[in-house]
Amino acid sequence: MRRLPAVALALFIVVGAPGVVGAHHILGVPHYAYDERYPQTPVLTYRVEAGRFELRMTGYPGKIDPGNRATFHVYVTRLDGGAPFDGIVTMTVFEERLLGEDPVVYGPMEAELDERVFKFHPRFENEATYLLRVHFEHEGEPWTIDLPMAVGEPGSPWSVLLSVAVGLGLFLVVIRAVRIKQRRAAAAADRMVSA
Amino acid sequence: MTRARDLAGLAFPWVVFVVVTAAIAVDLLLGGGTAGEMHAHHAGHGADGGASLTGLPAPLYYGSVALILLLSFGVLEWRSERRSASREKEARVDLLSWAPLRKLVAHPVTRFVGQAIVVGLFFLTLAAGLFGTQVSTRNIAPLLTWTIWWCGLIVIVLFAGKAWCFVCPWDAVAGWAEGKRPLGGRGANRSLGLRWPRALRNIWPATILFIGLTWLELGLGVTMSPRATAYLGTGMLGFAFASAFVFDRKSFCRYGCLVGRISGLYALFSPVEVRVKDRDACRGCKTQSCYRGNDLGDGCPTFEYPATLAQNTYCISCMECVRTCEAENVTLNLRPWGADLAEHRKPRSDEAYLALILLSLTGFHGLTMTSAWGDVVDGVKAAAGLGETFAFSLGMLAILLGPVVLYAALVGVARWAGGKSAASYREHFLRYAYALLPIALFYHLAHNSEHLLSEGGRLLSLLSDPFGWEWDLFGTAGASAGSGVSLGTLWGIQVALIVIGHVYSLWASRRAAEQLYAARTDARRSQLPMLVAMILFSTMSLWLLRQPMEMRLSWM
Repeated sequence: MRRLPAVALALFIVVGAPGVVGAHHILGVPHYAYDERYPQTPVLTYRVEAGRFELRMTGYPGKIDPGNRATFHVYVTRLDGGAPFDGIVTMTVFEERLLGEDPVVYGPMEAELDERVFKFHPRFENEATYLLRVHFEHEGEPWTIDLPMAVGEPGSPWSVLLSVAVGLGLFLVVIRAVRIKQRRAAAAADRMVSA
Repeated sequence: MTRARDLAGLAFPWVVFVVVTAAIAVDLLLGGGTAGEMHAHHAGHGADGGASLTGLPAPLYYGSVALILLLSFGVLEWRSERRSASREKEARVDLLSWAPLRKLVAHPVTRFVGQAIVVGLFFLTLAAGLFGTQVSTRNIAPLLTWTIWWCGLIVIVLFAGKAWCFVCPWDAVAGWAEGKRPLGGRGANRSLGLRWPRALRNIWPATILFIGLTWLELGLGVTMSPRATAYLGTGMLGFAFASAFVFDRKSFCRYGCLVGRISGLYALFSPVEVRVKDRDACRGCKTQSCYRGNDLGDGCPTFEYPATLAQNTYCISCMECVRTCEAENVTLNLRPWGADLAEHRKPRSDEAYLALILLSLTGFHGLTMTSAWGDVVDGVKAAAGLGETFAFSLGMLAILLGPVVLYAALVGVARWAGGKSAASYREHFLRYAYALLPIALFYHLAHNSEHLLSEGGRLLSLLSDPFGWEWDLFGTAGASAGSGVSLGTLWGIQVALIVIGHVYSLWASRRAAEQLYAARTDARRSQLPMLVAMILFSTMSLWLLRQPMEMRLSWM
């Protein structure tokens, strides 16, 4: 009887626990669950059609921190039949700026087909929003796809919000002061009239 | 016959509404979807969008141009009797003659509920923009602001006039902060109540804000930045707030709000109006509560006296006058499209210039989303050695002024062709400018329908994950970004809108010519150069729709 818990535990482990936990690959990145929103799923996934091709891109890690290298896998396959595009795919990464030109921080980098995928490994130094430009040509026709992404948490809204709050507070104090002055002036005028 | 025409005029907007809605619904039921027909854009054009949407096919484009030409000369030949203002007034349906609807519309809770919902959405947008992911495709702020609201606003004007102002969140928050009671009646007034500066008592402040917003939107790509979108929303709230605490009534709504003034000018066309039922009854009114206010509500916030109100431009449909009028003499009417353009009594230069700027900037908006614009900017950069932002600004200025200069020249020809009019060049310029509003409005709608119907589908997934934080609030986060109607239906809607706008512009220019000239033959001769202008502008609209349109948002 004393051994019952140990037997039950052993049975539970044999029956209840999964057999072999192993990562399989979905679109080129390790994937540990069938749940599509499982945390390891790359956050960056894009799909777009370009002429006779479908372009899919996955980014890993999904949340990129500044100073880190990312891996982007680009799949370009024919819409009819799914055969992979076997030409050259180019990636250029622009750091988005509010004013002026967006500087190129990666590329233009060319990649050839490597087991059905075109691989790129840009490094993102700054916390900012970026534009990934993927380019390829088929039968003399050029195609460009722009994909937006962010690294880290570019900019903080708190300094702006704090400035707005302080400005609003000052504004309301000034309005209040002027209203008090207006009221006193009106009261004084009333007294003058009644006197 | 006249009665039948009145009924047709009243029914037409709603026939268009039903047909377009049914076409979209059927298309969606049959599977629709432009997603499969969106294409990556061709190389060499540095737009921010993720992909482009195929433009009108050649047969439809050339067929539409031919139809525009046929209709133009057909309308010129069409002889209609001149209608007096009193005849125009007959084509109205008093919606508030049904007592329950009057109670509902006039009750302050109705407005409060609408405002509360929109204020909630506004703060959701601000929060998502400020604190959510800055990947524009994963954040609800850009979609809700630029695709749903900014594009939907013009649709609202077309069918419900100034309904947006009724629920405007900036006005609501500023008003509540200033002391206005959310549930009606006059609250504490915390404003200084100063008069708006005399020099700025026109809509130039709103026009300049509109040009500035367009520059920010297209030149700096604010539509692709959640945080910049939130800052813009906060900025508008700041304007409304400052104005509420400093100036009398809702001076900002009247003079400064770009949304209110654009929708106000477009609302000259809209099929609803707030008007008095019987002007004679107002003559004997001692209280003038609609203007001064009473315990039931405020006087007109935009300084209009409803007894003499003849146009929608400055009415914000707040329903205060419906609430305060003791005699229940103010009502909400249904009317034909373009009613205010038919008998436009007091043309103003600030309004006329806004109409022309709307024509320029709506076209410019479309142009910047075509690959041709990328070539123009690249050309300017190379020729003048300028940076991206300066080249864009220069191009924008040229396109802003181009149609105005062309119009000014054609007005000169129209005056010369008309011959015997006592009206000055200025009056010709002002009156004909209003006639271009339908072309601007309907191109704006055709362009916006592209955004709404092809990008709006993303709302389903973003509602479940508004901040891009991998939430799934309603179980729709993984919903496909399936994009509305098929291209065929979209093209049909767009062409129909351009043609409708063109015909209404021709009709409005005819009315303008009749106001400028006593003799019908002189009016027709004067109208010919305007006809050329309208054909040019409508053909330009169709050409823009023919171009592959680079959409704002990429998709997953």
